[in-house]
Amino acid sequence: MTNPRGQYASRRDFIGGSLAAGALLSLPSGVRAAVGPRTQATVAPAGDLAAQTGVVVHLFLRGGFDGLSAIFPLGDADLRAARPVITVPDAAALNLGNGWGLHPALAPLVPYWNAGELAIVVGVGATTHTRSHFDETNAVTRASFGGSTLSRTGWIARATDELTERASLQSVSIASSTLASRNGTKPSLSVGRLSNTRFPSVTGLSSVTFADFVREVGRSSGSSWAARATATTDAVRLVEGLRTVEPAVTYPTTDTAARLRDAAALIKGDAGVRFVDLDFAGDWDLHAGIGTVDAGTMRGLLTDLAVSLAIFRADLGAHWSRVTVVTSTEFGRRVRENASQGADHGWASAMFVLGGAVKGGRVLGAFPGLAPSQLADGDVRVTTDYRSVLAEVLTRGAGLPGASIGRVFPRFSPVSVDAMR
Amino acid sequence: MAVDLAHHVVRRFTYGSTPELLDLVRARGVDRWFEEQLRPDSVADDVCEGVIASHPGFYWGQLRSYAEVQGVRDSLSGTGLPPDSMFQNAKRNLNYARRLLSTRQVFETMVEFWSEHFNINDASGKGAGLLNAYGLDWEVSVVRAHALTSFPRMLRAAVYHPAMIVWLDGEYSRKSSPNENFARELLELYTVTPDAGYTQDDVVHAARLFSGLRGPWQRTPSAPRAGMVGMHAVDDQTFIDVSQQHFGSFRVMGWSGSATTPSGVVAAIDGLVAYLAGHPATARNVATKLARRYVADAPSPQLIGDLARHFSAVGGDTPGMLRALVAHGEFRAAVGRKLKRPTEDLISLARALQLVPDPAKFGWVGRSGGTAAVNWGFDQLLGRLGHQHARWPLPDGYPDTEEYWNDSASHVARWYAHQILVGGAAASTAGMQPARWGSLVSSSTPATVPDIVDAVASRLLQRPLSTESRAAVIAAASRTRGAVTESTRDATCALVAFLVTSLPEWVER
Repeated sequence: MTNPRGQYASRRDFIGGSLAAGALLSLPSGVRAAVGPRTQATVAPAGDLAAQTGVVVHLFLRGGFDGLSAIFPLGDADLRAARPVITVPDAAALNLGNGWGLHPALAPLVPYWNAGELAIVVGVGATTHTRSHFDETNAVTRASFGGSTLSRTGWIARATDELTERASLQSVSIASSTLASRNGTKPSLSVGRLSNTRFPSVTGLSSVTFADFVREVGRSSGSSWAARATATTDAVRLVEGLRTVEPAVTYPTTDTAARLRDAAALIKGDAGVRFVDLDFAGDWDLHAGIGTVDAGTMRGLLTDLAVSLAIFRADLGAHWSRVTVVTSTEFGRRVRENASQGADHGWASAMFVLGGAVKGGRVLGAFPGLAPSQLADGDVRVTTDYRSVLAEVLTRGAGLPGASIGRVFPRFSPVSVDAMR
Repeated sequence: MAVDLAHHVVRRFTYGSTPELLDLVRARGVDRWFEEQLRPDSVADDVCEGVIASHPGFYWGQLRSYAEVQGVRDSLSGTGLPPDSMFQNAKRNLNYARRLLSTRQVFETMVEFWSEHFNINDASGKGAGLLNAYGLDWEVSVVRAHALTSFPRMLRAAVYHPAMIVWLDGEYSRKSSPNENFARELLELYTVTPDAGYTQDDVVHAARLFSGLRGPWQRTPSAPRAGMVGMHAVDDQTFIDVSQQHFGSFRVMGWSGSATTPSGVVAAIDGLVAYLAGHPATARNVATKLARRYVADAPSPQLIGDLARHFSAVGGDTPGMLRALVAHGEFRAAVGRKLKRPTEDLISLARALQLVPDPAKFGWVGRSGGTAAVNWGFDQLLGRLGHQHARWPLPDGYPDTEEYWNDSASHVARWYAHQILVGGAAASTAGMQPARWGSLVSSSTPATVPDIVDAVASRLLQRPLSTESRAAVIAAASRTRGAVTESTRDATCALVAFLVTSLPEWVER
């Protein structure tokens, strides 16, 4: 393309202008202040309302999300030196102000930013630093680091346990595979797609007879399989009632968009859903092929992410004010690019927090820069524990009482990230 | 309840017990049967191989070398048929057919075990068409060739195979910046695991040692090239790219070596692989996975320790490990304590119902005006259950615990798949010739719902249902179908089979 600046100039200028008055916090020397003002107020749910109706949508970016591809310091010589090929050129970046640039593929999220509904946390992740997909995915989705033994339940399951009311569809995961953040003992629903969530159609066998049969077996069996079967019949009955909820907008054809469409149906159908756990349908494990700003796997993945979320917001309409979307991943990627236009496993990444109750339009978290001396074995250092972000989302977005956080994240004391009102 | 050892061994080490197989094992004696199974070449498998040989939906899965695959691709060019996805499909189909029909059942379970230990996701899109092509050879030359040999031999074959090199980004590794992906997984997943306490330095040293390892291609993974300039042949399909190979000394955990020539690199790799394969932490890793696969989700430290010591004593000999596992008291006490994963669930149902693949329903199927590539419906069912062969996205293989598989989505998808397989839709949706109930249940025509429940339970489970389960099945079937007549008998059998597969008894393994 001839002039990437031209394509995004007006939008970027708007963003830059809106942040011209960005305030600087007093931070230790060498630490970039990553805070800008919210530009526009939107109606947030009051605490009581959130406690009854607030919905948290967790979007897991499996594979190790490269925060530095999405949001990065502009004009940073250390970044260019470490990533001569894959860094987004300043001229192509969307300028978020305060020296931060956004990948142009994320342009569909800019309206969120301008409306003060999107905050981005940098230097965030788990405090462990193993670079292992499996260790970190387990740790992050379970969000419990009790010595060498991981909790067997996930943080969303524990958060669900903290809700005072009970309903079968309170907690739903929509994924190609079960997410450990969901695993728990309370009734919950995990589905591939809502459209596949049906009672069996065996000639003559009514759903009532089948559900009664499953319940009877569950009562006498006592096995965990039979118990889950019974809970599943309850949930399927509720999902059958959501079939008439039509999207208000046309979704893209990606699997991620389809999962978000299901999430929107659950929320709009007033089925009592409070937590939706989604797996982004794509692999962020880009040891190779992050590519340049114009060509490469990263551009496609970020486009899918941004477009899907923007459509999701549009579909939700008035329901948006009670929804908070938060992304997470197992780790960020190495600062230095490798020979295959990729980056190997690293440490800190970035988290997106979007929603009606978000204090948005701001980049949050301490970011000590990319000078080699600031890195941890070549990785961006984690300065914000991702659980601090989740704790705010759970209390302010889902309305959990503050006292519950100690049970959702055992042996952890959250620090204020100031991402939510 | 007295342990029925034959039934227990058959349920754990096959893709599903059937009345016929159970009779055979009891007649042979379970020990003798198991010993025969550990020497699969000694077990005749003509029926299975005959079905596979006669069906084009399986044939492509038997292609091996890149040249063979390329030949097929060339022959299909211009036909509009999608060869690469069909190669993957055919490989999966071949595995399902063998799990369904093969007499070498223990071998097939170990093929799956190792395929997951060294999981390669065929659908990752890595290496353009190369992973499709070499994925076929990978299965034959590594997984099947070594499923019942020994861990050190298998590991060496895996390390040098072009499919592994493509899968974990070896082709992109450079002397100046070695790609760590393969080195890390080698330590973390395939051998010693993080419990061994290796460091980032160990990963970097291993990555340097592997930096020049390539398949039969140069630089770009588009296609093999003639005249492999600057490439040192390790064997007929694996090379060292001399210009990208790091030479020098290497130190990984307690092993060290050095290389100044390509052949020195091969010797060093062999040395590292032998060191890792023989490490006590590797013994624990393999022992834990085998115990989890064949004994219990959370095997005891005692069992893992016993098996790990045995692994070291027999040099990682796989049949030796399996003998020790079956002889262990913890195995014998673990009857019914594993959950069938989706593949085991659906294939065991197909085996019990004697379903066979329907050649007209998949593969290269004739259509008016030409030929079309049609997926096997059975594979699509497994896709719905999230358990297609070689499709787990990450290098660690499908989870093997109930915690993962006992979710609502799984229940809903299993209901759907069971309803297909027990009835006439087996033909249209699953690509199977449907069950012939007349020959499946006892020859004296069952006249009542309870008769049918007992006969179907015997066919599916080879044992009576619990009193409570039997009553629940009878109640639901009676409410749905009422009296049984000659014309409703098959439908009643299918209904009862569906209900039985919804019982917790059915998913026990």
